[in-house]
Amino acid sequence: MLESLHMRRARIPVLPCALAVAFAQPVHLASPRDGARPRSAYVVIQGDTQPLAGIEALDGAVLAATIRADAAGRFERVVRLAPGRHQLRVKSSGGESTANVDMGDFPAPQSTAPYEALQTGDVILAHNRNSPQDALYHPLYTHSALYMGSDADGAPLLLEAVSEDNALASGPVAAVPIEQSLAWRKADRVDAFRLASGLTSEDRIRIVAWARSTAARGLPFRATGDFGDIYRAWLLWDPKRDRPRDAAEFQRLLDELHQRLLATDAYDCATLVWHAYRDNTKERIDLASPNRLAWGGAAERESQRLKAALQPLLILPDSFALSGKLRRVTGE
Amino acid sequence: MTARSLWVAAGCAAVLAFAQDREAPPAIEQWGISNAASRMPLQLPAGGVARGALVRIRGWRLGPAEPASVAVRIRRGETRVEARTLAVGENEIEALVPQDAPLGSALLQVVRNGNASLEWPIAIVASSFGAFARNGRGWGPGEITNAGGAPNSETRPARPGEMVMLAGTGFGVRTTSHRPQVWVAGRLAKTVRLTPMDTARPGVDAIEFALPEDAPEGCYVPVEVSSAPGIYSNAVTLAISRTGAPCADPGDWIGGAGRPTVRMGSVTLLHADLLLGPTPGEPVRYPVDAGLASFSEIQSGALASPLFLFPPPATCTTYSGTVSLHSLASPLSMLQALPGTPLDAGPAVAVAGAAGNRSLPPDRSHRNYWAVIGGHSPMPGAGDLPLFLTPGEFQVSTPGGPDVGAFHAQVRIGTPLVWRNREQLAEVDRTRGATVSWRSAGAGGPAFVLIVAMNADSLSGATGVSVCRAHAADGSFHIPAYALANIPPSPAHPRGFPLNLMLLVELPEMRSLPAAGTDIDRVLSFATSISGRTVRFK
Repeated sequence: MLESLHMRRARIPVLPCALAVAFAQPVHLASPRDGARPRSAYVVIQGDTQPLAGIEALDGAVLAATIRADAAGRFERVVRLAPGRHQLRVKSSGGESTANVDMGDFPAPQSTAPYEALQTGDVILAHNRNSPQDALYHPLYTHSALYMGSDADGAPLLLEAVSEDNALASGPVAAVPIEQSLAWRKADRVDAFRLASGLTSEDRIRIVAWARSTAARGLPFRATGDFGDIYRAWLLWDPKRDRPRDAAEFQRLLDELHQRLLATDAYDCATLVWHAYRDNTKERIDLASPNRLAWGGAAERESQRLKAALQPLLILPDSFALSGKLRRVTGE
Repeated sequence: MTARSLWVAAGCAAVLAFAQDREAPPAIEQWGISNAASRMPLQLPAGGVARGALVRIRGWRLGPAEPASVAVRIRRGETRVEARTLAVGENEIEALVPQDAPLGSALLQVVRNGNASLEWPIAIVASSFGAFARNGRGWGPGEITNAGGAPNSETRPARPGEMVMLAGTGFGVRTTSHRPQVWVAGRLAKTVRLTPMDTARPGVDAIEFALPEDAPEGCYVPVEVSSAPGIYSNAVTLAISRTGAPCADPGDWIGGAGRPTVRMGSVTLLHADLLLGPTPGEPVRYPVDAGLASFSEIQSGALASPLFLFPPPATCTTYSGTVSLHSLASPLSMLQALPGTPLDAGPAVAVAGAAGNRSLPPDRSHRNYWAVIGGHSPMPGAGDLPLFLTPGEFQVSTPGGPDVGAFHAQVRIGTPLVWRNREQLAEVDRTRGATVSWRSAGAGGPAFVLIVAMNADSLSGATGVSVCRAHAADGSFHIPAYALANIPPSPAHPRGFPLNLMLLVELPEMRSLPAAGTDIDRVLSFATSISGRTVRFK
């Protein structure tokens, strides 16, 4: 009887939700829904139960993960499943909930990445050795994305902005399953990062809501000209005198770059993640502050004064990695 | 509200959102709306779409769908019209701009399954013709039929005086106030007739014209159409031969006719002398030496770079498009002439000359080997190197790699071209054209000089390019106004990459030769020099 009740709950997720608010069910599996066919080899097991409860996630009879609910009773875990039908069960001392999922066949990841350690709101940083950024300043990372939870079928989604040349069916600024992300397709190294001071429930909810609405806007990638302006600032700098050739024009350029950094009608990979945190925490969480961008490669030899002038306007994946605001998720 | 109840509510909200999970809306590509034939970006003078024209919309999640289920809406203020969709693919829509579309700046939106894209700006104009090209990209050989009905081609050229027919779109609602003009290699065609609309191809206009008697021969003779005062279409090309015999192709640099594939090596040694100004004043001089090598297996009939479809001597052609970050990623990507599958020729290509040796490492995709090998490059961190490509013989070689065996080519560097009036040409009035003068190597040197004028709209990357070919011995050339018509004007405070350029490029012999002692079939090796500067276009 209990089993069938839970099966019905999983098949019709909306009604139990309403009940959950009123009666606080012992364990509720929100993702994946029963009968899901995720667009990924990964699936998000997510739900709620008693605060700090221990949960076992089982793939059939096999223990897939043990999860500890947070202080709000929320639990989540990304698991990678083999192709085929799986019965997923989450069990706690208060009961269990079940969903059946059909997993498709997806290629194995090209680089070791802690996707299974992801928690909603985590930041993905990736390095692609073929990126033009690599020669310019030898960054630790060349791409960033935001993990925003799952879609309706339980596939984990990354919010990312990619140039139009790199965009797949979802477009340049979109929420994509892990396998369609640029991090998966092009990176030789992928790491996950989490806010070192911890992300409050309220902040996480706002960031995820913003991510979902932003993904649905069909926005363009930040324009080529924005990057051209950074090059133009370099051209404007007189290396012999170590000052701008035309101070007023240089300042005008910096002001325009700053205005466009704050704009929300187009994003590159880093400004997207930066805005997600900054704009949804009333600017309390600025992942790029302090901006400790390190300059290797071709940029190493350039003027320190020029780099100091540009640094606040360059929000790049390394700005996040080096700010001290994030800690790397090891996957253990 | 406790944290727990907040999470439960949030979880429920998420599940409710899932339950109602709407598909993401269609997204129009940045500046992805253009005349279906010319592909001219909006920011260029002829980038408006005419009433009745076929418009091409690029993007994501546009389809697939039945055309009737996708709406293309155009609005200007309170005036709203709907374009008739003719074809809908996942990434592209072809639609017909209504005859009553409001003239002027407007907004276009795609609606699919009730989901609406963001609105993107377009300009609706009375007339702006775009010519169809055979490659569908708005440049190269045009959709042109000869008098007998056969498609014009290199093997079926037209004769001067012959009536030919060009397909395009965007004449607009026809009035008698302006008769279209057709320019063939800068010569005005005398007999011009608009043929009745083909109901099988809605939106497609056809224009018949007689080739001028003095039209030059060539495989890639440019044709442009002015459908409104001051508005010039994209240039497409046709083949012209006085005898009707297949044209001699000056761009047949592959030289592999009759073979399904050709394994080809290409070596370019380049000296450039650039005067770049991020602002109109104080340009900075950048003398640069660079080497480029590439190896490729090319399928028969592969498309060459548009830069190699040279117009006949003493004529000009034009190109338009959008420069992307990708195309700017390699400063020498414009010289990537070899299509096909790149071949790995080993860890580096060596260049040896009187001043010593230099190495060309592979780029990150192993498609090219290239390096700045001397001078002061306009690239961050490049530093200063002594110039390397002084006149004399240079040996270019590689011991070979997984795909290519040992390779060697010899390149002779001559005296570089000198642009004589470069200092005076800081500003160009596009309505008047511009005269450039130069001094080249003379006898034994390059036969031609290419004169390239270009500019890009700073934020969108919309780019207009004019390419003229002049006899090197002439020492000067006037770029006509029509060739500069689609170059965007320079703003008071230029932004973005400084692509407001004029370049004089020596055009060496471009015919590939059989390669001896290597597993490469043919080798194209040459030296060239470029003199250029940033220019303010007004």
